[in-house]
Amino acid sequence: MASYPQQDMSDEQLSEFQKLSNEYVPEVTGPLVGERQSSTAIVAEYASADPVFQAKTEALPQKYSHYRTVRGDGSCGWRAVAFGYFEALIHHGDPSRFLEEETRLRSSSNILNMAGFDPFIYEDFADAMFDLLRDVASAMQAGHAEQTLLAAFNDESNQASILTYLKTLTAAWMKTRPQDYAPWLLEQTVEEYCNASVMPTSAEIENVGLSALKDTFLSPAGITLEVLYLDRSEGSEVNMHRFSPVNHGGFDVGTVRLLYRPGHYDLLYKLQDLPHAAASVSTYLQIASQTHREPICAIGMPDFLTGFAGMSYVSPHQAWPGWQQQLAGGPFRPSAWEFEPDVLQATAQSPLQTAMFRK
Amino acid sequence: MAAKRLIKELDAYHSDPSPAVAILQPADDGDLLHLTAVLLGPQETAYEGGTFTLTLAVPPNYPAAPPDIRFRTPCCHPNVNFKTGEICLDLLKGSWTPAYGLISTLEAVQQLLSAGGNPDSPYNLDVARLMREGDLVGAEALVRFYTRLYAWGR
Repeated sequence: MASYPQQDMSDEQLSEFQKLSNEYVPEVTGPLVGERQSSTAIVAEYASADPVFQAKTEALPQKYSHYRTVRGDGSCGWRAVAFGYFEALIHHGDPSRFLEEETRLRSSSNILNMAGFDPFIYEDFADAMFDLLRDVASAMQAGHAEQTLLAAFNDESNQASILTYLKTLTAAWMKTRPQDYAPWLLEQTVEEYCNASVMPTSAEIENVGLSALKDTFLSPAGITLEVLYLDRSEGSEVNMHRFSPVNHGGFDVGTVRLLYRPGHYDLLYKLQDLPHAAASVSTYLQIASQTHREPICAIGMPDFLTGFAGMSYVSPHQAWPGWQQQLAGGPFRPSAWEFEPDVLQATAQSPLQTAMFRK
Repeated sequence: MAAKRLIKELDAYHSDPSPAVAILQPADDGDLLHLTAVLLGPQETAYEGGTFTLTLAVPPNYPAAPPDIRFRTPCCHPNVNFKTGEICLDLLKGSWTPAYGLISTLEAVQQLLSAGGNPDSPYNLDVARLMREGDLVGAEALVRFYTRLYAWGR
């Protein structure tokens, strides 16, 4: 029988190794968020890997033309979602969407308060988020939204504030509806999970947390989340998991696509996600001249009130009506999962399931 | 960043004091980054009646990094170094989040006292051994003795 070297070590040596291992911090280099580049670079990276990875990476550029690296410092999943969210809003092309998002997120402070977070502590992080929404909206009209975004995410402390905001939002969302997430946690309460695996700066995103982040941050913005798994599983392509429900209210702003390699997230793009220089310039001009003279004008949109907690057309007695209830009587177009309770149940309870493909 | 946030935290503490923290103030007027706190021993535990002085050293990049918190009043607890006052609490190390403040961190330290701590990663071998061997009466008596010796009436 082969003996493992650990078995020959004394307790002192073992504890010394344990200490070294606990203190080990991998050296991470590169920008926090890199430039978008052709995904053929991934093929080159895996050219000498084993056949499963070779096959999967060779098939990748046919569907996903570009990718963007995110620094693997333990926060890459959170950062990739945050960056992808802004890019989806930019790509959507309507600067007033940024103000709608700010309004929506400001109303979320009710959830943060309900979950017991102190406003005077989280407001700094929330402000970093709102400032960036405004900066990108105005940069969009000047035609350099992407540069502004990239610069903001490569500012260490600024992006850390935004990630802290997203973690706080995710934890608050989970804590205020523990019944939705508790079934997926093993021997942990939602509270314990949030304290150990969502809130700490060092906590990388996990599947349950990612699902909650999607539910509270991406879906209400009309943004779909897809995760493409590049691992050693069977198949000749990366496995795609589209988190469901696809979006809320039937409107579609865009998609955040994450490339997952065990322990690390990067961003992936299809051709349709890329800005087309000529088309986008005319769109910006059009929008700038029509709808964005004064940001405050956009407040006049008819469904503005529904952005606030407790101000939807239904459930006035409930402090924070769930999205489903808002949808049921709200101004949004009904979606498939309203009509089919089974779909809702299946999707709401199975963040770990990977069978919900739609090709 | 750190100073702005600390001023907000101190203001919030003055308008809404914490039942766990009797005092939280800068150690001297010119320096916000070094603070003194007095933590009350949790009720219905062997620490009851004790008032523990702690020092908080706040790093310039706070709240991105956690404060360094140490007991100045000797505290007998398996996860507190009796001599240096160092505290073994995951919140003060890997589990830190900028969404915690000084008060919520001090409350977590009080929580650590009332929870009895984890004898498997001990800073205080004597009390940890008693707890591991199941001598909870002995452990409690030791805690009560040191609390009375050092933390009463100060």
